[in-house]
Amino acid sequence: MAELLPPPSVAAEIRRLLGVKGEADEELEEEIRESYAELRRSAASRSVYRIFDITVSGDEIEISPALRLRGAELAGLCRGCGRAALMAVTLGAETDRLIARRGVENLSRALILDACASAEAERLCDETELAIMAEAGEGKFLTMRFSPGYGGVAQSESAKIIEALDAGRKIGLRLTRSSMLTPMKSVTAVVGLADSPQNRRRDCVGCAAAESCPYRMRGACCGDKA
Amino acid sequence: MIKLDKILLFDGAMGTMLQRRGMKLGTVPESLNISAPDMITAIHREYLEAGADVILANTFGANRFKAEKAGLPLRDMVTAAVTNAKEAASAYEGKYVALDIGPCGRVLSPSGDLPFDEAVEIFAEVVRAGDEAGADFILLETFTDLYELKAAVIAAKENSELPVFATMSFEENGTTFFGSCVESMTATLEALGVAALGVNCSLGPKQLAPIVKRILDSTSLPVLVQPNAGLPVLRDGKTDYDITPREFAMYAREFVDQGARFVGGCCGTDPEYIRLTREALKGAEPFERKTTKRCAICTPSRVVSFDRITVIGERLNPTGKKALQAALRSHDIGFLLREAIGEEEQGAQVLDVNVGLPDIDEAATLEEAVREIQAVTRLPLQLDSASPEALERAARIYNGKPLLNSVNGKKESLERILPIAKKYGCALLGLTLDENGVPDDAESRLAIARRIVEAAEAAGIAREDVLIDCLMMTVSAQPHQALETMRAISLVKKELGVRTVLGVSNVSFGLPARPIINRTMLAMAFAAGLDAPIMNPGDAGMMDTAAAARVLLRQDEGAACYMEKYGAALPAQPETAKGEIPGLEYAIARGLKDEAAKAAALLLKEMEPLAVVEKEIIPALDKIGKDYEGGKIFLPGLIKSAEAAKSAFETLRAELAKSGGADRKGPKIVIATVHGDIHDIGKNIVKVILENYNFDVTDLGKDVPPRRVADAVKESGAGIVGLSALMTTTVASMKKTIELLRKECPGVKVIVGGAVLTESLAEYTGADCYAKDAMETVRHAEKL
Repeated sequence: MAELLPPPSVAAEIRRLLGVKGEADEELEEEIRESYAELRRSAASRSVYRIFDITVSGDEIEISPALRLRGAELAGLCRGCGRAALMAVTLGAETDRLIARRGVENLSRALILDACASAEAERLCDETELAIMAEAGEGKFLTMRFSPGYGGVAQSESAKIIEALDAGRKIGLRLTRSSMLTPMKSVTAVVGLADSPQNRRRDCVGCAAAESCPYRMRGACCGDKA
Repeated sequence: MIKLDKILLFDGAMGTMLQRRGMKLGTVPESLNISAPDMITAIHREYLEAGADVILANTFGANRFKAEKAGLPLRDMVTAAVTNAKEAASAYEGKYVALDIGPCGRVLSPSGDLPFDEAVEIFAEVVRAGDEAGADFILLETFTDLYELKAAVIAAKENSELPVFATMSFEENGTTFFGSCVESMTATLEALGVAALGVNCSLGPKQLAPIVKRILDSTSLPVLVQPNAGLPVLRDGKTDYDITPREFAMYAREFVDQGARFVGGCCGTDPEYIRLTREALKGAEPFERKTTKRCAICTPSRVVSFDRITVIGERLNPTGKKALQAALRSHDIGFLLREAIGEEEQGAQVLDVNVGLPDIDEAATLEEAVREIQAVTRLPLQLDSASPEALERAARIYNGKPLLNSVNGKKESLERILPIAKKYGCALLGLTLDENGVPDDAESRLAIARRIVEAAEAAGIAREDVLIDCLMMTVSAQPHQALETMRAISLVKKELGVRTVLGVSNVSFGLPARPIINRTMLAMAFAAGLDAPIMNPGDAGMMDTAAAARVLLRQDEGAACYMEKYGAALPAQPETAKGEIPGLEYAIARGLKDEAAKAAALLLKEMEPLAVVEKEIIPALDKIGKDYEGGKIFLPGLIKSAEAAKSAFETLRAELAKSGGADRKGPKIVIATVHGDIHDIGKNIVKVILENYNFDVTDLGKDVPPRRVADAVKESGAGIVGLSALMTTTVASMKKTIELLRKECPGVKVIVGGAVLTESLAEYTGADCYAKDAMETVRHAEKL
């Protein structure tokens, strides 16, 4: 099942999520490959995006008069952009069930699967960005991808992204009362379409986890790509 | 009352029409019932003019969450919607108005955080308002979670007499986003007593065709089909559909000719689609479809029909099982889950679940066990209890169609249990005993079985949903009874035509080499017509007999299943010479679970259990802990070792229990993922590591309200609480929990951890200390 091997960048992300410094031993590598393949077989990955005309004013991005995304950092990111893409991706409910079941049988395997799923969701986001880039056309540059729940942007802003994309109906994405995404391995995000090249690297300014971030302690960044 | 025996044309999309009229993104469409009633009425009128027999009130998303967002009372929105639709319909003859209800937007626990009964109440509010406003029937549509749909059907039935139609949205592979399949939907909805069922949205009619066929094949109820206008395609930069309105109408006619009773349109359809469909339906006549009624139970993703030998796993029953009893008393749900998965892997197709112990709250425990087991296995369950209350609670929250174990011929039992089976859509197992006990002869058992089947039918339960257990007696005590039971099975099958179940291993009590008697009895019972033995799927001899019987009874086409299992080699089980057992320390270091248990057992032959802990396990764990902290091994390795050590501990505990020695458990600690947070992998890691260091851990699970944490601390007398939160939004919930603990459990120490936490956030929550990982939790807990 060669097509189910994790691409190098995904494998690197999995190792990073598992706290592996340097190379993992062959046994762990093998388990990562098996887990990733198992994940891909069970996942029903779906994504949806749409490019909207936006108006940025103050701390808000206006998608329509009745739909405004709030958050200083988000607004800062999209300042100067006339359009932005909202996107949502999910690996589907079956992935949650798989991880829950493996958690009963073999916790270590569940942990590896969990890391594989998180990395896969990121890969799906990257893939969706390519489609956004193609639709945005020549001369447009994507800003960094920004998800609610980071920086000063409330997790609950995800509800608006889901509504704007009709993501409940289109990809089965919903929120809990505390605004967590279900299925759990899902991402909602905003990407601005700018006229000039953007710094797409995540940085730690304003990140809630910056102070205790294990990546940062190692002198790395969660936005690093292998 | 809406006529179910007539072909009826439903309307097309409301949302599409509202968007065309300039509705802005972010507007709550249901608020327009109040702010723009003329616009809504005009849309209804267009559909009625186009020829629709049924219009859907603009209530699809009306629920308490949307009402709050719109800042309007829910009741007013629903009342206005139904009134608008009725007003439009009043100008015509013979039109119907549906109270339209879609998913509530939240996910039921355990996948999400919405308790089942809260979901029922959310739908009940809409049903009550719509019923009062005068809707003609209730349409539950676009559901993708069968569990949520069950909650909505129950809400409709509990709050209204109106007929209920229910449809789900499927993807091309015939499953929904939540993994529900077509046949599970039809089995569950039919048993719940809906008036009609079907499919809507998600796809165009072309892609829905195979799904419509599967629905028509698997239900005898009237079927409703409401496809989207097609699959969206981009044409010249504009979104269009892959078929034309005329083609849509042609497909609708085909669906009716295949047996669908009701058709209409979903997203993207407009009055033109409905007008053309009206034309296409000219001359179409309703007809009765031929369907075979089957005895089946299900979960959302798995239907088990009893038309071939079906093994019901018996191990989730504490009778005579010390370890399960202990697990139930200490609320160790993980033990039940491992047992359930074990039975599934050994080939059980249905799992019996019984948690009856005199000193636990059986109803609450059965409900919890069923919910948690359903989160990790697809197998349908047989809910087993002597308590009607426990059966009712479990049947209510069961996801799918369960088998209820059991009713019997006693008047009281029939009166109490039949309504539960009917209301919650269950198949039912009837035991052939009554006020006079178990009759000695087969004919009397048949008479009781007949009474049960007739009473069930009179209560509205389909005959094929009743299974009969002719009861297995112990042959050493009642030598003539095995034959009598077999005769009873034959009689019941022949005279009543229902499926039979039997708890086979009762037969061998008091005899040596019980497996021999068990598997022989099983073979003879199959010959008599037994369909579903309740047995231990870990008994290889009995499983072999079941596999062979399927071949001999022509239930295994071409012996395919048999060949798959036995084709490669004879089922010999070489127990020995499978390599040496490594040392315990090595097994733990390498994370070898089974080997660790075996190594511990081996050591027990020469050492006391406590010495094994002190001389072998603790040094091994210390080394692993240091390796992890020193960055030599990583988290997966640490957990593997911890799980291996845990299995060694379990071996030692079993030995201690056998020798009557007291299990020396360490300090008590209560752990939980806080309220509102449904991520529990981190907490589970902490748990297994704490257990390694001999902490006596009470695990409350995920999404735990502060009250439950405080109660558990008081109940267990724990001195330490560990709380986990993954998201920034749930840190507040952590703070609340700690505040309650400070008030009610002074003296208890609190350790917090989780992805978003930092030293300063931990301080904000009021915790005593912050642990960055599982090892640090242990270090803190040891100090406290």
